[in-house]
Amino acid sequence: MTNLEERVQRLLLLVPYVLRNNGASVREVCDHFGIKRSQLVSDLNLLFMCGLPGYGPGDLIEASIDGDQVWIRMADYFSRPMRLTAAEGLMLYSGAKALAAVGGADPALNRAVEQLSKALAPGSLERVSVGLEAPEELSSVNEALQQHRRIRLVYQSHSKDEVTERDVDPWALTLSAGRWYLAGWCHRVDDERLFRVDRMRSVEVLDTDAEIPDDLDLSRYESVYFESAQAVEVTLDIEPTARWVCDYYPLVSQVKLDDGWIRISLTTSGFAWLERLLLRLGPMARVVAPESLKEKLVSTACAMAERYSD
Amino acid sequence: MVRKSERLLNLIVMLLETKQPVSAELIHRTIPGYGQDQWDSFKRMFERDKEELREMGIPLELSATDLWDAEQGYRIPKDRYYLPELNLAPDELAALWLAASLLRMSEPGPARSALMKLSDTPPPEEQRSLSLVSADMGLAAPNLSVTLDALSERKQLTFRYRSRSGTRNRTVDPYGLTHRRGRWYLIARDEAVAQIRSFRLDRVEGSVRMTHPSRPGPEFEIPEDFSLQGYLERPPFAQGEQEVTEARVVFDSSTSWWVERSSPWLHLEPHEQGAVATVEITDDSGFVSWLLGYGRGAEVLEPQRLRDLARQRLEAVCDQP
Repeated sequence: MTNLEERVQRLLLLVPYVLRNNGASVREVCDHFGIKRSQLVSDLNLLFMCGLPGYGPGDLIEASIDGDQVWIRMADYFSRPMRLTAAEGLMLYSGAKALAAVGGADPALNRAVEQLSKALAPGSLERVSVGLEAPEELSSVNEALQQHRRIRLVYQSHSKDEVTERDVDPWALTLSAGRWYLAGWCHRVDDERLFRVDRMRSVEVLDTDAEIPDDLDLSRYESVYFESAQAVEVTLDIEPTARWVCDYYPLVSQVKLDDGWIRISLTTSGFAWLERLLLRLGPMARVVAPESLKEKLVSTACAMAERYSD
Repeated sequence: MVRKSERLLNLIVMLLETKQPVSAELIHRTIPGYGQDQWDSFKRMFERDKEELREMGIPLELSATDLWDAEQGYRIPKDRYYLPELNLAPDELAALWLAASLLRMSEPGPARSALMKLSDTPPPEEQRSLSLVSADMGLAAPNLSVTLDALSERKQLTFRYRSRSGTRNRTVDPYGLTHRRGRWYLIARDEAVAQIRSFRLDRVEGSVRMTHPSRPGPEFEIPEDFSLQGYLERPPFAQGEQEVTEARVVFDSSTSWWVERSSPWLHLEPHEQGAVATVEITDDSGFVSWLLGYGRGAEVLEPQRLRDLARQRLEAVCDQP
């Protein structure tokens, strides 16, 4: 949004607020809108120039700071704020979907979403579909997280494809690229780990308090691709038609080759997911390095081909 | 020199308070900042201002100023401009604050202004956020807002799009918008091919624009038999208009729980090995890719054509240099 739009939109919100709270202190108004006094003064000066055609003393908006109080008069047509824009509606609606996934069914949330559709131009969200995974384990994980309780997971790793049981102290839950991840301390490996909630086959909330570091930096988990100590670098060549791979995975590098193929590098802590991706791509991808990935892939592909050879 | 923000506010007040639609000519004469300019430069300014209003979500209507339809005029309809009385209960308001707080780290802005419109008094501090949880819904995707507006106003869109077949300009009628796996997709009728297609918004190069941004009113109808949900429930390899094949697939027990979660549109039936399913497909190659992506745990049983294709694909992997 441009500065101009931002300013006009703020004014369309500020006038109704002050009209309903005439005489509010400068501090109150500035805090409510997150602006400085100088900005408020300049906004009020602008309003002073606006009003109904004629633009005489009886037509213009009266706006002033009297002592420490903010006053606006002669602007009855702005006594109610404007409807939510489609973008505003989508924000709250998407947030509500995420909250419903984490927190389970909440009647207040459902009623609020219903009210939300009234606050929008008719039909705004009618043709919008927000698909969000909500594995049943998610609400147990959140419950444990909010109550600072340890959990016991049966976990099928995506990167290594092995099933393990682990006790984990939950630290943070985050949705990224459509998947929910739990960050926490894994007592099995005695280290910090990230778990995909949809790969949890079961979750048991234990009667033990979780240990949470005081200096936990939540912003680290906003992107799930945080550096892992055991990451291995992998290099692949992919055909131009499989270019979508470059959009889907965080790459270390990407170079166009002479024959039009693309050489990409990425890091991973396990090969299982890559093997499945490569099986999916078939002749559209080749493994350049490491050799161990190539061997593993070829042996899986040959075993699978065998089944189809009847 | 009259500032643009002042001119826009005066325009909003005039169009909101007028009883009759006002002609462009009257707007030109009345509002300070338009007056001194020649008609041509006024027209250009006014076109931009109308677009500006639309971008801010302010509804603008164009209709006849008199019974004889001789002249067209503009107004902002009050019933579409004002927020209706909602009377959100405190727990409902708190739920919306919590919902917005999940997005807080990555996506502030519109969520906050929406909450401020809904109430002057925020819920108490401790009810405003859900600690330790955050959700990136991909709402920072460029062009999301204009796409959404075009969708609800039924306005045609133009953009440059990169797909497997290359990059070219598209002109589309938007039918739906959907969030899947952190990305936003526009479902729209592509004019050039006269077919419904899905477009990933982050594959658009540059901006999505309305073809006629300042023209008020809807520009197309969505066919009555179109269902967004119906469209979305079809897997990618069953989207085309081609002939449908029924394929029979089997999953072993360590894979079937995962298939159930990752492909919820599939109807699995128990089987001695794990589970079986019948899948309707129109794109052989897309289907085989999808199935091979489940690794050793999945096998297509019939038809033979697809078994052959799967074998060829796997052999190509085995034979790679």
